[in-house]
Amino acid sequence: MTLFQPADDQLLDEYVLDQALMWMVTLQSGVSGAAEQRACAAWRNANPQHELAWQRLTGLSRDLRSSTSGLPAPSARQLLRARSLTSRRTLLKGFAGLGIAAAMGLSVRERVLLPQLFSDYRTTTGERRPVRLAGAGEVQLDTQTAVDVRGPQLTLNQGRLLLATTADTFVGIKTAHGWVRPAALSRLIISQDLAGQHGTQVQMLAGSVVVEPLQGARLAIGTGQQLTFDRHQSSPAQPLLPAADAWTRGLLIAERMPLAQVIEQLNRYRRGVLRCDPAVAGLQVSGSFSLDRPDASLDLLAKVLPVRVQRVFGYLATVVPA
Amino acid sequence: MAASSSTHRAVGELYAQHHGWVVQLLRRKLGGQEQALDLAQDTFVRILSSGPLPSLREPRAYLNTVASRLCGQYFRRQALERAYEQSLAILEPEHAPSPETRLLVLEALDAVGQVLDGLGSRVREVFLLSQLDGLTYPQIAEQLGLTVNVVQKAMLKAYRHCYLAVYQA
Repeated sequence: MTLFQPADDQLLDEYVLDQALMWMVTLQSGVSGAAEQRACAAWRNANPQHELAWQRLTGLSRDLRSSTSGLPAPSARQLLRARSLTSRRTLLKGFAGLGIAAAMGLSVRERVLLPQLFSDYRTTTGERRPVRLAGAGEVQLDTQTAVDVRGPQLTLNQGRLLLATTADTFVGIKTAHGWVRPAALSRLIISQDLAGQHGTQVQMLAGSVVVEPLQGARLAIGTGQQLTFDRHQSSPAQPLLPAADAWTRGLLIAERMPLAQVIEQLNRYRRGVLRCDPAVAGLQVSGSFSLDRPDASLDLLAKVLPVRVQRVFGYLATVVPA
Repeated sequence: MAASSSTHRAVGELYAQHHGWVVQLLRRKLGGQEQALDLAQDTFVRILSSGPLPSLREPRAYLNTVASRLCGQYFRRQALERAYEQSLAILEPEHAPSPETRLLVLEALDAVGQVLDGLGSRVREVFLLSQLDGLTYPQIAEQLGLTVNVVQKAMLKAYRHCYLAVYQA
């Protein structure tokens, strides 16, 4: 493998490198548009040195991606984080300098690393993915979701997940508001602080669960029920919303849902910023929309409702009255 | 890079006079004789392949610097391997990658790590979120609680760092 080797041995002026870096950083921002692209292309064409600098930088990005192509990006990042955490420990060890201290240094390193290691899964915008945990069951992470795994315990740091517990293991799920303890062979959706929701929401598709707010009373619910709890208390059990698990199939199924809520949900799946003009926020929407293709869903909304979508560079989109 | 015969001679002298001392130094850092011998060997190979030997008033200070750097790389590699093993431990056995795949993954990640070595953790995270996760700067800023301006500066710094690691090593 010849990664991170110089692509050529020519000389490159320092200021050309500076310019190339500026262009690269501008075009990768995700907020630049066609005008910047054209200007950058013109700059590259203006001088062979410019093109050389550009090729070197894009080569670096390419090598970075291909070196980690066997892993999901969050895992690659975590592994690299773990790799460099040690260097601080090593530094301590260097100061101590003795064999015996080196042995202790190892145990210090273990203690420091273990809690933050690899227990962490994160999905980016628009990504959904399954995570299989040995003995603990199966988890599907929704978009923009982060979980930590510590043995039989999951911590939901952000977002939403579907959990199917297995027969022989017990999993506790921790959120910022307390504990969720499902029985064996349960299927449930847990979300934390999604748009328009304060607290942890638990939706039971099958089985039963006990929730424990950090400073409040426990409550048990079963199949077809849902509740929301914060640190102090839980709402009473309510009937499960229809199609609560549609997101696991990439769908948003709306039943007379205010447009603002539909937009909030699509926004979690779409890169960039998506806004809804208050003038149309209350329009009622019924139908089935793709979460995996949020922009197509926006176009569909514009066909069935008196709205249109204003887009700026594809990044910022606003739903406004037609 | 081929070393000239004068460099060969100079490094040979260095080896004869200080090899035992380097092994001792490394044994203290690493705790084991075998790794110490290996890394001592690497230390002299590294010096030999890095071009003409500078005139050394304090050869042991120089050897210490090179050996310590290799030691750091060794520890980081170990931490990476351990972390990777732990990440695989929670997978079902049938999903576990083959030993060959594991080695390739580790080699490639270690190569990335070496290019990024020396960057602060925040700058590195920004850079990787952009390059590996494909996030936009506003998304990175939101995820890490930074301003877009700070993200942009971190990107410039990280790109320059990687560039220098590859083209001026």
